[in-house]
Amino acid sequence: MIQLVRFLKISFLLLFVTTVMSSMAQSASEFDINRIKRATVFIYQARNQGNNLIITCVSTGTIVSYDGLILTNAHSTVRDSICNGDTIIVAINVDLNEPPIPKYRAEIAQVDEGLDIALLQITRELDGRLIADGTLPTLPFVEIGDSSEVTIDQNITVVGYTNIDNQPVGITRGTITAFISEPRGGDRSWFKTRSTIPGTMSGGGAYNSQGQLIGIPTTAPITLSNSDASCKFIEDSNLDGFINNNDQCIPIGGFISSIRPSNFARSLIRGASLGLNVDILTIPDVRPNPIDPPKFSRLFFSPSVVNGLPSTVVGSLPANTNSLYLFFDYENMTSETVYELRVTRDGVPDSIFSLPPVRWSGSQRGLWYIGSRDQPWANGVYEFNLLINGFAADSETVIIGGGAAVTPTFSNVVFGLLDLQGNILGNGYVLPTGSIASARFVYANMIDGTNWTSLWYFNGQEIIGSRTNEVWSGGENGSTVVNLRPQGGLFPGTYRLELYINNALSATSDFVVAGAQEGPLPIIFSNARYTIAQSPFEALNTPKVTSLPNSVDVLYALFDWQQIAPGTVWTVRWLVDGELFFELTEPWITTESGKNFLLSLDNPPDGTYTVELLVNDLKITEATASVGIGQLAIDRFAEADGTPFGGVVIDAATQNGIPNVSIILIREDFSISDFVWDQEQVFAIATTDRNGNFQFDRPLVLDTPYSLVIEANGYLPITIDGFELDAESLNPLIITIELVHD
Amino acid sequence: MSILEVNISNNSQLTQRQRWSIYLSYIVILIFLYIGFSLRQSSLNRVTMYTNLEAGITALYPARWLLDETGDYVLRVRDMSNRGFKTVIQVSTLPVTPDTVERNLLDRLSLNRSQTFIDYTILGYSDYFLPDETPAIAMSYTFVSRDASPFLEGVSTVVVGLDILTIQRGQALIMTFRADSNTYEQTLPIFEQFIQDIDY
Repeated sequence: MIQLVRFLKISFLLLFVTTVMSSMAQSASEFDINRIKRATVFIYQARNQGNNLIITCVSTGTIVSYDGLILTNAHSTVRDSICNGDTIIVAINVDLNEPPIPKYRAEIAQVDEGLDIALLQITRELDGRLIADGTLPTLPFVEIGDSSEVTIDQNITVVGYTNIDNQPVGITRGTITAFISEPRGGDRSWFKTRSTIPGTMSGGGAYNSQGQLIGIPTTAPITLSNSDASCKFIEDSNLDGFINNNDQCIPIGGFISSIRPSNFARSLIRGASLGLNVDILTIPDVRPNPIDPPKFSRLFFSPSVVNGLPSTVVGSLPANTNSLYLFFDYENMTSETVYELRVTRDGVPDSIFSLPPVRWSGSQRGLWYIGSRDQPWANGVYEFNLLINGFAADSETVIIGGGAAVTPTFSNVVFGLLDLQGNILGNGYVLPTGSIASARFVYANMIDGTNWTSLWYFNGQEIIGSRTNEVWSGGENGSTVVNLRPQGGLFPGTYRLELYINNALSATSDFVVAGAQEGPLPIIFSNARYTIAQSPFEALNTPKVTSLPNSVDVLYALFDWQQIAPGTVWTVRWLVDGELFFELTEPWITTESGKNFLLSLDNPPDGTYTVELLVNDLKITEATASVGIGQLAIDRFAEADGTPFGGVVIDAATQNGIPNVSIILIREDFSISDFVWDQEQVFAIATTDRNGNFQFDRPLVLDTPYSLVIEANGYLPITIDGFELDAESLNPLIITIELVHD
Repeated sequence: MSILEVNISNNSQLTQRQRWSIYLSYIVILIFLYIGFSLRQSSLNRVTMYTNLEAGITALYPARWLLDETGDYVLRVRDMSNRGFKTVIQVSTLPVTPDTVERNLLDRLSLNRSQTFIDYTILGYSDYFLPDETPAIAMSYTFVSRDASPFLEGVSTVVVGLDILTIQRGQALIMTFRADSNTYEQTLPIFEQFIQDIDY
């Protein structure tokens, strides 16, 4: 009887647990800054040198998955000429008021060097031991928000490390001031902010008011320069007993004003979390790097972009302009090249439309643009200065102000094949091989008798005989067509049309010729299919599959191609259940025509897989196959929502913490009476540390009744049913549990 | 002023009936103590039946140990009430070929463990005979266990482990016992009893 009374007392004691609100206690639906801070890690890239690990680069990262997937920058983690380390160390926040503590090693799981995004996977303990599958504790992680919903003037919170000093994880608040456009990401390639974000916060997280990660603060160090304040000497890397200019300095970059939207990382996160690795087996992994130095040329402005191309060419724009793009040609660029745009208005730096040093996200050569849409440009003389790797590359000036001038203009060039009625047929920018290409363009404010010129290029070279110098006789406004009939026909490759009025460039546009002609549309890629085989060689001859009842080790995708010139930029995308997880855009570097271009996907989980092939952003063909049940399994752990639960277990007599006590939280499907000590029934287990503190590594789901069991030798057991939290509960929940000696 | 008279009794003055009552009380107390002790021992020694038809294994493991079949083992049970390293009994199987000998499997276990266990050290091998006189080989080892949570101040524990490995019917059966080095000797009989009871 006495024992029963004591048992009931203990149970009531648990109900009477002292709930201690954390310093930032808020309801579950609000911004949980402490959780975000805990999910923010500091990353060292280091190089093995004898028995020492020499730090080569540092950055901030953010845990985006409970199983140790970290989102950060590529420039500070992927080995290159500046960051030449071979080991990645992850330091985490054990105490939010202290600097982070190195705990783990990580490897690169997915990377897009151009976008400067890397996904790291924690794989080893700090001492180099492998972390066995399933033994990494569930780590705090943040939710990825939809960066397409970000608006100008939206408040953001940037979380990261402000320096390599003794400071704990820091916070900077600010607003979004502009969106910057580039071909790779369209209108929202970058968010701009006026916040003062230190360079070591690069790779961290920018959060909206719901605590969702909407961007990655990003800047790229240009070079290692001893005199550069953005490069720090902190250790004796050459082991000569001194720390001086002869040691390796750690690039930390300048202040950050650009944020890479989080939507760019979604496909990488999806691929990394599912362990999906795509290999292109037909093309060697090592791509030829350009030898000549990178350069920019042919800078001009356009007020709008159509399918990645300028609608027209302008030298000035009227007042109230809210859209402006700088176009230029580029050559010999790589994903390691750092480029920068400095904009001045009337000689004064304009931070809103400038882009700080960032990695190049395009291919090796082509036409690029940078600008913005739906944002007001004040009147003035704007000078756009482009830099490559810190050195001035080229510049161009545009004037904004005054009334709209009525000047002759060509615009909106589209390409295709003409039908008998004079209509342009095709998809506008990718034409099949043949004998003739046509371009339709719009003209406005033209005066008969004006001199105008059309000029065609093929792979950057003027096509001899294509230049036409004519006198305009087509009237004031309308559209017209010009044709290209090269000798020998249209060869596969990249073409360009330039239209001049009175020897001034008025419109220009590019198109690709590739593939065989089937009506106005090209057949570039065909016979796309999936297959399974024991080896890549065998895959070339195995039959097509569309449905696989069981899992497979490797899923192969194949397609045939014809008449696509080396250097033509093409894209392969891979989706699972309609969600993108792999995308690669690069120049075509194999033969012009062939069969069985081979790609492989290792260990695909159940799902429906689609491979898409594109040229000039136009989808040419696709193939689909389902594996297993045809859809991805639901991951219960993937939810970031919930209330973190922890506390301390103390001795009721001494009030001291009790170490090594296990607290078992039973899933909502079972009560104490149902519990038969089976792991399947357990939601989570926490064990107290030397001070009696414990912390469940999974957040508790709201409005879900759990049961709780504590059994520790020497103490009376505690059990409780219906342990449930709701939106009004404290978040995080921290309790004190007293145990009584038996 | 009042006088309180205290009358101190003397056993020698007890009646025989009273003396027998006292003796009976002592006996009743002893009986209840014995029953309580027996119940406690019964509770502590209570076992739970485990059956895995697919693996062909039947075993008895201590009641209220947490059963886990979700890993790369047939079963693992842990004493969650133990403060410190949770004493573990684990049974796993490995495929073998006619060329495989016990030493090959022990080496494989050791190589894998050296990747993930802190300070993994093999103490030695010895011959072992299962209750049905089946020959087996025993490998004892130590390593350091540390609470995995990176956010707490967990203190490392030295663990002693024992693998009993035998190859039968085309597969290797590995029975593993791990306990805190301070309690290893006291808890080893639990594992020995487990081996006595296991049927495979």
